[in-house]
Amino acid sequence: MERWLAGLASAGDLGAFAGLVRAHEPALRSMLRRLAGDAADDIAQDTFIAAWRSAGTWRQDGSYRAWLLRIAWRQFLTYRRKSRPTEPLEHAEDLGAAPCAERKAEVEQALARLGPRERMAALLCFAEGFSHGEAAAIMGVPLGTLKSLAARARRELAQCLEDKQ
Amino acid sequence: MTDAEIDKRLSALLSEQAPIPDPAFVDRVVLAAQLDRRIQVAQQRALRRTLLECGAALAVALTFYLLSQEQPPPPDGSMSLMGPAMAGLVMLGLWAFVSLPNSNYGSASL
Repeated sequence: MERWLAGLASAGDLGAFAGLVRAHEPALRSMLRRLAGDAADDIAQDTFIAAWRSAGTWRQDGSYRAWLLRIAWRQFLTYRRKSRPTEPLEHAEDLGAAPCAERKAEVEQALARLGPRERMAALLCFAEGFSHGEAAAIMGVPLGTLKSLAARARRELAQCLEDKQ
Repeated sequence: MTDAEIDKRLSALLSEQAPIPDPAFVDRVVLAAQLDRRIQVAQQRALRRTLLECGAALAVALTFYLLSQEQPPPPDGSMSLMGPAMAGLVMLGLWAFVSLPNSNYGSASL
């Protein structure tokens, strides 16, 4: 279904593109909110427009979501170069009723304190469930670099877990 | 705790419930994509037109040059109404008369 929509979108079908946006915007915006804070919606919109312009370049053998995330990461870096870095949102306010809300909130706060590269690595590897290889491809870094970023992120976040034990 | 255990716990803590779709955002992106396409079409049209007009201007200049080679200017410096320079000017005027009113320069329509 997704491949079919992407094929139509690459031929200029706006309806098919709308279908792809509808399918991917909730997760993409949610991730960008944790990565880029208030700028998330602007970056998400730029990401979709960039995906629309280069719809023909998506290789059908990969996942469309991973391709979108790769564009989103580049858009985020461009945004950071152009403007002051923004603080990512801390999601503590959403978590009142959850059983481990306090710990979740602390991890979210620790995530927000990470550098952008470590934060992205943590989001891709821990929250989104990508393998190190996939995350490295999305971020456009060598596998070794990604592993270092993920290890650094793990160390920081785990420290926050251990503090509570 | 091993790295694998930490990863597992972090995955559980960082995973989010299914985010809520926002139809207004989808509409906004689709509208932006529509505008983007129209701007691209207009840009391509403007580029094609610019190339055509540059080519036309080059052709006129070349004609001017060839005509001036055909008949050298009179030695006293006067300009003949039937000379090559006048023929070139007439051609230039004709081109401006035909081309410029249809060029839509400054039009905001996309």
